[in-house]
Amino acid sequence: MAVSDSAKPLVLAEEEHYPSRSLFQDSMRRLFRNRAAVVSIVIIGFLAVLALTADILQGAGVIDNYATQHRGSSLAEPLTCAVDGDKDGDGVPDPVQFCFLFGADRLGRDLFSRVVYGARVSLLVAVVGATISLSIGTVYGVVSGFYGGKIDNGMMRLVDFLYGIPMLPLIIIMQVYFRGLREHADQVGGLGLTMVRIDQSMGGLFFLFIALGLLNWIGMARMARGQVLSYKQKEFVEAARSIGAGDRRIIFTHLLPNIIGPLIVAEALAIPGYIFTEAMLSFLGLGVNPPTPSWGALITNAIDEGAIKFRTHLLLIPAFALSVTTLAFNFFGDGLRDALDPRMAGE
Amino acid sequence: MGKYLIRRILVAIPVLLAIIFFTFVVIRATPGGPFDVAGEGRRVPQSVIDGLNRQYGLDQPILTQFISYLGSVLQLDFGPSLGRSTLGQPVNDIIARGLPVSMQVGVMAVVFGFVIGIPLGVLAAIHHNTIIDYGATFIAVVGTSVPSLVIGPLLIIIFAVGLNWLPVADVNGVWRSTLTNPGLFFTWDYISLAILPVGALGIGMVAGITRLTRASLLQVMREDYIRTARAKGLKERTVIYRHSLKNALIPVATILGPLLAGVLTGSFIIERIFNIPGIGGEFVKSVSSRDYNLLVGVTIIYSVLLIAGNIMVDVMYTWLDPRIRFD
Repeated sequence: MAVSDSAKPLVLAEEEHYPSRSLFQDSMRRLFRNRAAVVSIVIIGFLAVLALTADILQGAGVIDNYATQHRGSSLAEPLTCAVDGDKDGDGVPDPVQFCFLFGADRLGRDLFSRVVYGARVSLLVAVVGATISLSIGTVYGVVSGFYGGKIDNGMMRLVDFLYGIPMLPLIIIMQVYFRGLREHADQVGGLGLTMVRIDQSMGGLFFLFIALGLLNWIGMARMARGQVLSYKQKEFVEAARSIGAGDRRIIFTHLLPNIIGPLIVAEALAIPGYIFTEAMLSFLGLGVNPPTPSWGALITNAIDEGAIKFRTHLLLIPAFALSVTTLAFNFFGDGLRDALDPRMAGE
Repeated sequence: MGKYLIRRILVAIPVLLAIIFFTFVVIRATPGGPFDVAGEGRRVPQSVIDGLNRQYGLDQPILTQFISYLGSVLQLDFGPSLGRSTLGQPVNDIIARGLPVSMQVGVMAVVFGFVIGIPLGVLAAIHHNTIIDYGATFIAVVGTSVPSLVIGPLLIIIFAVGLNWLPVADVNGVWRSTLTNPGLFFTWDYISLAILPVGALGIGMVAGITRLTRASLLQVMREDYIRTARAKGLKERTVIYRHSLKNALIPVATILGPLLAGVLTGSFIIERIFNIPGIGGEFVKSVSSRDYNLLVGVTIIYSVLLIAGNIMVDVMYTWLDPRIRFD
């Protein structure tokens, strides 16, 4: 019997015409076709560059040090210059040192520079909070879901227990504790002192990270477990096991790539929550250490200094920065979800 | 059903105990105490601190303190306040003063959220992928992205300072007076005072409810029974309001749980910005004055409210959707 061999080259030829695209490339194409998501990525990228180069910008004299107080420039209007007066006492006014784009606060600190440095805190909180909760949650959920049985039972009991606890009052109380450690550093020793030192070197961010990381991993763990449970019964896992793949290989090469997408989306959509929490803690005086600026702290300072009635720009500028950033993260998260799971698009 | 309710309540008890224990121990382990600071940074003589500690039992071992505190909490007595300005006042009184005020703001904000959010979500879903839909979605995303810390001051700047339409300062103590005089609820004094904080707290809820209603309705409208309803020639109005909306609103009920948490978070901020004499403000004050009893007391109240709220939502869920059974 003559076998028709004309079919094979035809298939090959088609493959040449349409280069194969991986699922990942497909999602990225969808993501970059989403205008809102692209704008958000640009905004977040711009803020990230600003936050990373803040020290360089300061060295170049574009922005001021966030803690520098210009005497005589208390509550300076936008687009005015510092009049630090006559420091050397020679009777001739000193040359202008710095000009305020957005004006200065009550202590004569440049608002623009403080907003730029504030981007650091908010973005760092976003990145670190998301990383902590994503990693703890994923590891916990995968272990629990994959090994099942008694391990799963015990681990999920703990999660259910923690899930019933309202986290916010507890975070506030923990921050009070950390603040107490900081204020009475002379009375603490050992581990506490080490932690206070680390925290001080980070401008008060370290304790904030601990508190934030504890907030969201529980939901992540539940989600990761659910995903693992639904995938581990699938045929491709069975196939992998039948050719002798070990647990580690199955988890890392077969399960993780499948479950990580929805987890990343959930985490991206949780980021505004971290930024809100930081702002709220700063508002309650439990956030970063002064004079480290964060947008929440700047808004709070402005409210305390009566910016609701006068010089509203002191309040509106950091408020605008904060809102644009959370907006960008929300649109980015939405875009990512639509890109990774096109069935959900438009819902 | 009854069995399920009892089990949920039984599970909540150890959770509550853990919260009380954690709060109690951590706040006492924090360096510094309620009597350390006399204000303006002046130091209080050690003998005075010791005397006060003895009077309020803070010199006892922590476990002894905890057991006696737990005993009094079981009798619904949260002990005396230890804050400088309210020293010795029963914490119960402070909570009884603040909680009703906070509840007013919270309940009004939740109602506002549902009253605006559901119609907006329905409108967006009916006019899927039109300008109305995009507008509603945009409002929803903006509403979830702008925190009350920003919206609150913004509303004050626009409506109180700029346009001078609404007051911010509660000069006559209207918030507190409502506790004894409910007739005040219907006066302009009260309404004008409540509009801004309720708006600030409620916008986020409007956004969340709009999003959820829209997504849920869109999903329901794709179901077979909706096609059947259309196929048998029902009016579009009947299809949407009778057949779709009823089912679509079931998931929306679950947002009540997160909303309760939102009311809680919001109360910390909104009450300080708008100077509302509620429980959130008291909590914040107790944090800075290290008022142990008030702090633990308010935490317990918050936790009970949240846990009860979550149980209530789950129970309501089974009632709304008989297909769901918790056993």
